[in-house]
Amino acid sequence: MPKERKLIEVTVDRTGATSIDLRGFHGQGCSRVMAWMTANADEITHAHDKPEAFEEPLEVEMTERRTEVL
Amino acid sequence: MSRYAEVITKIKDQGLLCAALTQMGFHEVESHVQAQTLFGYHGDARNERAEVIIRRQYIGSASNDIGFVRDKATGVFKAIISDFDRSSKHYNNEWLGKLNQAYVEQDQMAIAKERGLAFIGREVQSNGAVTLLFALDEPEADELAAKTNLWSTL
Repeated sequence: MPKERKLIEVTVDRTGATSIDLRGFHGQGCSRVMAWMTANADEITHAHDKPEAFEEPLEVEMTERRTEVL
Repeated sequence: MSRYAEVITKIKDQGLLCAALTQMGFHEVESHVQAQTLFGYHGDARNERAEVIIRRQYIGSASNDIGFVRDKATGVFKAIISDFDRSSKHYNNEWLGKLNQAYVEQDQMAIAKERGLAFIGREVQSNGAVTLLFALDEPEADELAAKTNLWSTL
């Protein structure tokens, strides 16, 4: 099964205000990548996690289950 | 989709500022370690000095030099634009907004390159906003995992 592609969409308006949208990331990877993209920012005016951010990738879950059986 | 943020970025990187000005069509941009004198439209030396300068011959026949001087305390660049040029509708607050937009675009491209993200494309929206799309492809993700333990905490 192909993995979900991890995408970063950056939109910069005509004043330079920026919105950054991460798609396909899970767990702490979201925070790490967002930290990269906002490393030079002076102010974060709004931020929120989406439900997927709290979900573990399916592959990881399956691996853990196999380990329990063994 | 998994995370969303809105941020404000001020102009602090001199190289990226020059790149942003070039992106806006200014191909003769001076960049100095020490601030240099700005000149008025008569060729008269002005009191202001700046590290990044667009000389008046590249702006308009009746224009003054446009400069960008770094604030020593904050590191943020401030534009020095004469009242004449500011009121000419070419170099007003809207122009400064577009410069900030170009700067952020350059900044995000530089971050993406540094982090090994794949650049997918750039699109200008009907409202003038620019959207950049990057991907963290699996080969890059595996490489990054080896380098930074990025995915080890997942």
